[in-house]
Amino acid sequence: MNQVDTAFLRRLRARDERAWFELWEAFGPVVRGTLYRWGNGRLGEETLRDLTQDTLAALTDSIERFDPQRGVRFSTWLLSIAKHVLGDEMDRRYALKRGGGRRGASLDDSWMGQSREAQPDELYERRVMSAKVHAAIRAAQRRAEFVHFEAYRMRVLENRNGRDIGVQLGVSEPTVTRHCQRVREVLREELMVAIEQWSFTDDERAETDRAGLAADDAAFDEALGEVWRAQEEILALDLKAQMAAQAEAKAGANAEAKAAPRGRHPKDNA
Amino acid sequence: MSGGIEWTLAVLATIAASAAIVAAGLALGRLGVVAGLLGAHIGRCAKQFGAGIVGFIGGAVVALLLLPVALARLVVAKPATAREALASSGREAREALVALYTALVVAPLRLVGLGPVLGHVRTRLPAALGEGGSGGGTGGGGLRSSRADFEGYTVLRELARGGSGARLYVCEPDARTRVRIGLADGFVVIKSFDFDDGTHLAEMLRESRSLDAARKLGLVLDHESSERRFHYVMRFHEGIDLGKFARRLHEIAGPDGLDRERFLLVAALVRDIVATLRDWHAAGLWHKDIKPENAIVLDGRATLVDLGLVTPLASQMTLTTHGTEYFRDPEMVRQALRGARVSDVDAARFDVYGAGAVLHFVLEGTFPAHGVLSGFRKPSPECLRWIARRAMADFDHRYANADEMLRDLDRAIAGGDPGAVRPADLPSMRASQEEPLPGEGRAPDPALPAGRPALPPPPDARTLGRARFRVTNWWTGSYEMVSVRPLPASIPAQGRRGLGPPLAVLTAALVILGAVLAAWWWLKDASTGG
Repeated sequence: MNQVDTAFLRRLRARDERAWFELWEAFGPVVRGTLYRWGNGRLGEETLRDLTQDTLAALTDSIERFDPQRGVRFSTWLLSIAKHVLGDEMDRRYALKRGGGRRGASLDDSWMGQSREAQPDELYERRVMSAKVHAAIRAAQRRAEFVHFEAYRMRVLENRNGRDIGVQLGVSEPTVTRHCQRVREVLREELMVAIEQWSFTDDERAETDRAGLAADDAAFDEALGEVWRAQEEILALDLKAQMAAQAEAKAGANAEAKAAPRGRHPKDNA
Repeated sequence: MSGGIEWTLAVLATIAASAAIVAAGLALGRLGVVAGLLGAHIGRCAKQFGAGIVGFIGGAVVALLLLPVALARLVVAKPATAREALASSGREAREALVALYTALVVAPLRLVGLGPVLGHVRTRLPAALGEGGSGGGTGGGGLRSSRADFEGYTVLRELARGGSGARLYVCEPDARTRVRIGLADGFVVIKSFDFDDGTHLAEMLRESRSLDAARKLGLVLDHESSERRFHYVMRFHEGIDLGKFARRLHEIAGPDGLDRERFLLVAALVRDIVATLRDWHAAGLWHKDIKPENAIVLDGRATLVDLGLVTPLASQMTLTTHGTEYFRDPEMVRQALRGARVSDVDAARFDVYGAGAVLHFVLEGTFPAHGVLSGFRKPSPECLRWIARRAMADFDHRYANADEMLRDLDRAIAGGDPGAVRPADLPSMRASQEEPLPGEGRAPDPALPAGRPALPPPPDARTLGRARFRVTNWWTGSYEMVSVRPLPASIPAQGRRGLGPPLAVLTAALVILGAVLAAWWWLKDASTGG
């Protein structure tokens, strides 16, 4: 099946803002993490957020011109756009510094080719794969009963035993198993949707098999738990970096506002 | 006989001498404390003087350096950037003068105890200058613009400006205004929107929309609008924001996370926020920007502040995506992108999400960057994690309202150990617990002994007494738990620790010693004469 024809991409082409938000929710952290690494600490929190939005907005724009015949992976495509957006930002900054008005590079179809500059590394590919799994888990969480999902989370994602979960939830162990089974079924469906939606090549689609996510229940849980925990580690590192950047920005702002009072009062975020 | 008297006098003299020595020691000790305080005061003033001088030198150097830059830009025909450089130079020069004023006027006056007078002058002088000379203009030049004049209020200081462009002033109402707005003590914050300060009409309108409802709730004490300015008055809450407070607690606790008492403390603080939300929602308002920075912690209590985004639940306006990342409900963003109106959705649940995110934050010390899927990496009580997740769950699965979340929080706190409460014990769980299949009983709780008494009935959120905490040291995060008691009508004066008592004892001891010595000398003289 050619994924460019899927309902989701049709929604993107139709400028459905909710589809854009889903894209943001799923891949925003990946793009932000990648830009952060490229920026090597020189990009502030606000800039990172802007660039991430620009990247995903550019992806939405360019979906019109996407040619599936070129056989480009979704992950590579996303990376090329991010690289392009970052390059554009650097050009703009350089131009501003010189006091000139150099125009940013235009978005063209060169992203669809294998860029020499933006070759994805193993960490990046892992992040994209994890983001797809994460999107599936989020969708499953929305569909499943809260208690069922929490039982599955404790059992598989937090690797706890059924008896302990039963005690916490006030149910028997077989009930926990039943809850987990329900969530697993939903998860399998959502995982298929997510992978199909965000994979442009057969190689990308086969990643679920390689990650063990097409196996029987026990292996599926184990593989999912592994991907989840790996993603948690990555996200925790990203979050730490973001918090450090925010703290730095706040310290700078505080230094500017020397007349800051002892007490604190609300300020707006609008 | 004479020997007996002499012996008695010797004992009295010894006692008096000992008392004199002890009293002298105490007096010297207290003198040492006074000297220490005086030294610290002198040190602070010296530091202020030094900082002022350094600031003056730095500012003056930068201001002077910027002048040739401006000139050079003018020469290469870049007048816009030259103006910028000139303006920067002016700003630096102003800063340098303020620093010099601090060093030469503020620090010496503070040294001799005239600091409070300076504050008064800073408040009054600009107003006096505005009345006298500039014809009511808004021009600068004074320490504060005349736009900061509010009838019935004395401006004490200005706070950092918010994102809406409004200015925030801490003020003291005069006696008549206090009666009018019903505020017996404490200060107020005036949030002022002024077109001349760059405020936009949209921001003014947004804030004014909820004013009536906020006033009914007692959140807004007073407000006034004129052709170019609009301001409203709120109670000022001194304290530290929950974000800083929780971060500090986690810094002290280290990677192992908080201990039982601190979990209890942070849960109680979030409980305060949720209780406030329940009241606001009942009054038809939602906050829209729940985050740790919008809760002020003082004496173990959290107070929700910031009315910037408060909106009536029945508003016909279209939802907007305003709010703060990580604490803003993704569902709200989805609905806003769909173009939903506020009244079309149960917006109170967006606040519930924010409260869950705040609970996650205080338990972990980090943002819940992935909503309900955000992990807990530090140890924390299962029931509190459960409450945070339930609040952040998908819109249809989360707590139906703040009251439901509040009852769960109350249950977690009530026993004094959230770690001992299972999710299954929470009122919301017991209400929604599925019936077991035939032949499948409920799992016994191995942690509880057989024949254990039934759990107490769900506490009534409105009447539940709870432990209160008083933070005794903000720096180390230490605090003490105090029971809830009605405040006494008057607060008894604390024991004084001045120089008076030891000096009085010393004087008395010396007088007695003198009398004893005189008596002994008289007796000795009499016996020698006889």
